[in-house]
Amino acid sequence: MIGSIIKHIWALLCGLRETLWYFLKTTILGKPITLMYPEEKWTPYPRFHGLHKLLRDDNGKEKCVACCLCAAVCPAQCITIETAENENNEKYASSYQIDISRCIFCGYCVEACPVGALLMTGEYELAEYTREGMLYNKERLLRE
Amino acid sequence: MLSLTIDEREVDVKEGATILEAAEAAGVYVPTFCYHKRLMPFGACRMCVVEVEQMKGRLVPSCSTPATNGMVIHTNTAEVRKARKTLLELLLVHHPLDCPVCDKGGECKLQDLVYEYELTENRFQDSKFGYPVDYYSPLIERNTNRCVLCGMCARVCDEVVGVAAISFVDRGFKTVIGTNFERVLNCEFCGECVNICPVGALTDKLFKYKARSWELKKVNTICSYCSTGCTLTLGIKGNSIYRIIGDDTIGVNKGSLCAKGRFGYQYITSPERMNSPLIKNEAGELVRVTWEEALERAAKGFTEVKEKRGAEHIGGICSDRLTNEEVYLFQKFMRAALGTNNIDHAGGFSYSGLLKGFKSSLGYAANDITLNDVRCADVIFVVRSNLSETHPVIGYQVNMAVKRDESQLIVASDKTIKLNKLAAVSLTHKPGTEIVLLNGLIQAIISENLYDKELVSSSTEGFEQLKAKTARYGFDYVEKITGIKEDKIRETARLLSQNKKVCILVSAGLGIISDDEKLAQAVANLAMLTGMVGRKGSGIGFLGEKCNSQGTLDMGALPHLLPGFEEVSDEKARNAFEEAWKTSIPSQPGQSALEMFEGAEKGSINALYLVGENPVVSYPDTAQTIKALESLDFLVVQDLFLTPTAKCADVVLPAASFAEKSGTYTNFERRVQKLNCGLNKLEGVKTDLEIFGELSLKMGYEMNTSTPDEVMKEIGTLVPLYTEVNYSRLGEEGIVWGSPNGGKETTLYGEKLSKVKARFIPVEVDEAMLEPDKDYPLLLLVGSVLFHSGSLSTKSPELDQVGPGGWVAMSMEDARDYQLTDGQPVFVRSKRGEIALKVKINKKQTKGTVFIPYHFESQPVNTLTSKDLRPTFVEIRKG
Ligand code: SF4
Ligand code: SF4
Ligand code: SF4
Ligand code: SF4
Ligand code: SF4
Ligand code: FES
Repeated sequence: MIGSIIKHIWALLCGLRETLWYFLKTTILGKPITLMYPEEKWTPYPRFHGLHKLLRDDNGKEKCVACCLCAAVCPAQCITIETAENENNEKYASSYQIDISRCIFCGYCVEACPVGALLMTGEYELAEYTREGMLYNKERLLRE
Repeated sequence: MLSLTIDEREVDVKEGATILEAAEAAGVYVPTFCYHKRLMPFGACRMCVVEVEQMKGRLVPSCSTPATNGMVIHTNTAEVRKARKTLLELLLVHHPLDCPVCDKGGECKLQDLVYEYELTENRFQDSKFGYPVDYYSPLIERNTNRCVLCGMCARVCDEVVGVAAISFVDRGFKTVIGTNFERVLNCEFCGECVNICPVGALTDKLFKYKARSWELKKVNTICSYCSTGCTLTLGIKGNSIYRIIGDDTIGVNKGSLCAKGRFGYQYITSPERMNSPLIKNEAGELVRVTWEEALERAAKGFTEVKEKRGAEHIGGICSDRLTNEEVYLFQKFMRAALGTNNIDHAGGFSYSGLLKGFKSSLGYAANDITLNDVRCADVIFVVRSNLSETHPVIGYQVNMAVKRDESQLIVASDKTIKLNKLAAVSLTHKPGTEIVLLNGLIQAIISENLYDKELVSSSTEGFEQLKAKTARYGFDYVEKITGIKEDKIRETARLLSQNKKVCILVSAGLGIISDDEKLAQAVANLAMLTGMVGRKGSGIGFLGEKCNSQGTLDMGALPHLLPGFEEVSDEKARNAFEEAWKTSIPSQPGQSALEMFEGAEKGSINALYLVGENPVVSYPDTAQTIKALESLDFLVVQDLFLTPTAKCADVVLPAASFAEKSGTYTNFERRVQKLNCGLNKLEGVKTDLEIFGELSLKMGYEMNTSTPDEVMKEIGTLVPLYTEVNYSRLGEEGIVWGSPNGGKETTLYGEKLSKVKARFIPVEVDEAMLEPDKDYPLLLLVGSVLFHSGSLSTKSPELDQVGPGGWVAMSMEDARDYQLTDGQPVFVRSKRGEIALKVKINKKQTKGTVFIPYHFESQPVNTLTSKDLRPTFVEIRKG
């Protein structure tokens, strides 16, 4: 009987091993994990899904070829692209907009892009005072 | 019948079918690149290979191998898949695979098959070709790098369209699809090649980089240009049309379109379109007002004229581009709300062949043939019709009938036209002598005893008069007048009276104004004589110019006929309408368009309502037209654009285009087809249907119908021909009125003309009319050109780009005599006016004639012409 109780408690402790370790690490053994945001900022992990960015190639030209695959794959349908032809008979996005308020940060768009023009950055501070502010146009997405 | 087994499925097919056709019948899918059911089998791509147990040891191309009895076929074995996969790998060796920016992406056969066959890498490698892309041809972009050499474009251009503008150039690895001497495309720009290309090698420039195929909503509707009635598939994104394609499974055209239908839609979004009603202020300027004010003013204007002078002083003319429902409401408005029978359409000329000619000879103001009859005919006789320009898709059928099924084509024309290339007999006659030629043919048929005696004696009357009246058209006389030799007339007479399937095709419309009534009667005489009316698959096609030429007649936009061809003077018929409309209709027939214009000058017509008509540009004798419009007290014009006619108006009402409304059109076959609304209306416009309803209400008469559907229900109750027509039954194929079984039988006249009273009406022309004046030595031929229809198409910049105006065509001989060179500015003068144009030398033009198209505002050819149906003669001097 006692044996079985000990066994159960042992199992519980095993299950909680990681949690307890963090508990100790952020209390007695180390400093607290809570960040004093916004005074303190968090550094996201490298593969974090944050705000999108449109990339340029080495010559400073937009990489996006306006294939619209990102818009097609987006489950939240928050990417709107208008396409046109430039003076060199190439296709480009005459307008490219992501409604970040509807984006679910799945990253499908980045995966779909055949030319690696789209990236998700670590930027996570996306609050705005207006809904319009949540609409990211091409200029904002191409930011340095 | 053959029976065979395909992938374990038993199937029976007709003798002569290919394995691929059998597979299709069995519901088995076989991938193809170079096969299309509209084209002859070609066997170029080998994608369609299958295994046949009886032909062991090799794979056979199913598209070009005839099926035989008892064949056992496997379409999807490992070996077949391997062969297809290798083929795809080979195709991809040189393929640029720029799918992300290729406009075909998403509907590309190569893409789909590469995906289906899970091709992730290629065993073969080579450098890409890097051919230059043709960015310079109008409307069509050619990127040879993406071509899979299926040859379908070249074949459709030759086998269907009959142009052969492109073909294979060079051999082996270097083979490409090209034009002669690598020039830019200079063809009919029908876009059939673009439509059929399985990959992105030929693309629509208007659609270039505008959207991806999967973003487009597809709406099937009916073309608003000519009376062929092709089904268009609009590609819509947001609230604009991005492209138009043909769907080869539906419509009378089975996917074929012409340049007008495919590329002529940009007028819908033209910035020139009106988006607000206008009324004329005291200063005589048109100013923007609200709908309320405009309708108020229109109603007040009509009421004033009605009260001061009487309803018979008001007239209304509509266009034959309105839908059936709109035409019906228009004439109801005129008859019931205003109380006048002064109603007409299309200038009053364009339909006289059908209405006066056919109705008096055969009893129906309609054609009795279908597009399919033309395709299947043994003999096709084209009279006064450049149908490859006016009705291109009918032209395709003629081309296919001749090239594939060896139909005999006879072309009677006053100049060399495209169809002459295919003709077994070319009757290139002197201008204006068609009727003499037809009488000559009748004479030849009678004198040689070739006519259908049984039919003539049992079902017709007036044969003796015909015989007597045509007796003087002997071969010598006909040759003197028309220039056609005896042997050709004999040959034609023989071809026409073989008791086979014969179709006669004639074009009509504002472009070709002449005595259509007589021409139609002469054609009807010939048709009755040879027994072709009432025979299955034979008949006459009098091809109206606009999309609803037939429907506008059916719906009674006529001074003397109510909807359904009921005489207004017939009390019983009138009563039925009066009862339904709860008002009285005047019993006297009204005035025709011509009479209204004359009356306007004389003061017997004081107010006009013009709907979609642009008489200043398209009616003959512009000076008289303008004078008439100026003498009116009140003019209301309803149109999409501020046309020269609209500029004369007191009230201008902006209307919606065909893509912004629903309704029905009736094509030349009498097929009632449904228009499906694709776009929301441009802000500020209303459909013609709404305008009629609201205007009528303002005049104190309520129509009780607000949607096209309701109007069609009302039509169904009052017009027996249309009782079958019900929106829920229309479907993709439409309904041919007057034919049971949804148009499968063409029984308008019944077997051996049993359903009608057929009469021979001998016709003659005043041959002296064709003598030129010594001051005006050249005969002016006015007409339509391939890229335009009416004056509407000129508002589409793309059509204007390939078919610009501003020219007069003349023969090489005349140009030499007048010492004119191509492109030289000249003045063309007739008794009525003068216009400045540029010379276009055309070796097909007949000496002594000049040709000017009538579509263009900037080229007002109608300032030269007259309304009296007599030919116009002109002189030319250097400008
Ligand atoms: S998938 Fe990439 S290239 Fe295509 S539109 Fe989106 S960002 Fe541009
Ligand atoms: S033709 Fe097809 S496979 Fe070739 S680039 Fe275009 S979409 Fe891709
Ligand atoms: S557009 Fe028509 S006429 Fe021109 S090349 Fe293509 S198929 Fe031939
Ligand atoms: S251009 Fe298109 S239709 Fe013509 S051969 Fe090449 S792939 Fe075939
Ligand atoms: S204009 Fe006539 S032939 Fe051309 S697509 Fe339209 S209906 Fe068909
Ligand atoms: S489809 Fe049969 S060979 Fe091309």
